[in-house]
Amino acid sequence: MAERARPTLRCLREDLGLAVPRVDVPLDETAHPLLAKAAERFADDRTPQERIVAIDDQVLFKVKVQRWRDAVWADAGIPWLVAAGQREEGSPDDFYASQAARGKAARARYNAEHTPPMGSATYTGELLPGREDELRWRAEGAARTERRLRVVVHRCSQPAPGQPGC
Amino acid sequence: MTLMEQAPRQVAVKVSPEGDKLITSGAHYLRMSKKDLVEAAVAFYLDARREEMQAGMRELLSELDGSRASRVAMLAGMTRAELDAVGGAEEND
Repeated sequence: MAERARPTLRCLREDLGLAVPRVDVPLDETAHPLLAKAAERFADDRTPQERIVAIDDQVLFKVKVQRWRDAVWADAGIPWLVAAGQREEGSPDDFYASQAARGKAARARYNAEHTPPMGSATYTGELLPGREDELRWRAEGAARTERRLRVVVHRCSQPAPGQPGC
Repeated sequence: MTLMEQAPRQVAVKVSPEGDKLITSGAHYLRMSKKDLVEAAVAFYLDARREEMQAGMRELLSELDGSRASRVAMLAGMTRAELDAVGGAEEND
């Protein structure tokens, strides 16, 4: 059983056009048809997934709902929405073609700046969860912990009648 | 909340092989157990750096300004700026 799908902050802001909520709202609770569809598709490990074959440096999967298209990268049981967009009328896979083109351009940039060059046809590393996503993940956990601690401290400082404090 | 749960009487501490050799050797020549040596050494070390520890505690506490965001940032091990950059915390949660 996979964890619930969550978008990277870049995907949330730039691709889905949504504001970043306070850390009290976990990103896997973001209300968006793509999140709901990805959660459904990745709830069961046995569900067959469709890979984006034009991207070869990472294993990215397709998620489609209505006109929305998404690229999902699964890491340690977490399906990450790393890129999203809407297909254009009459071009069912336009989004995935544009992602492949983006990956090829990123690979060209990468190879111009790094030695040895990347052997794959695409580079999508810049889409994957990074430091700010790790910070967000930690902050969401800390917000949950703070809420629980507050309840415990309140209960300890104001025990119910007849009950000892902590 | 219950405090009746049994706390473990001892816990394992992992050290490097080099550290273990030092502890073993020291315990042998001081005629004490490795456990007692480690506990005494830690107490001695922390006492020697007590002022630094207190300064660290004061610095940590100074980050708590009564806001929920400061508590969440501290629990997450990040700065307020980092917390704010990834969404910030709700004060009236």
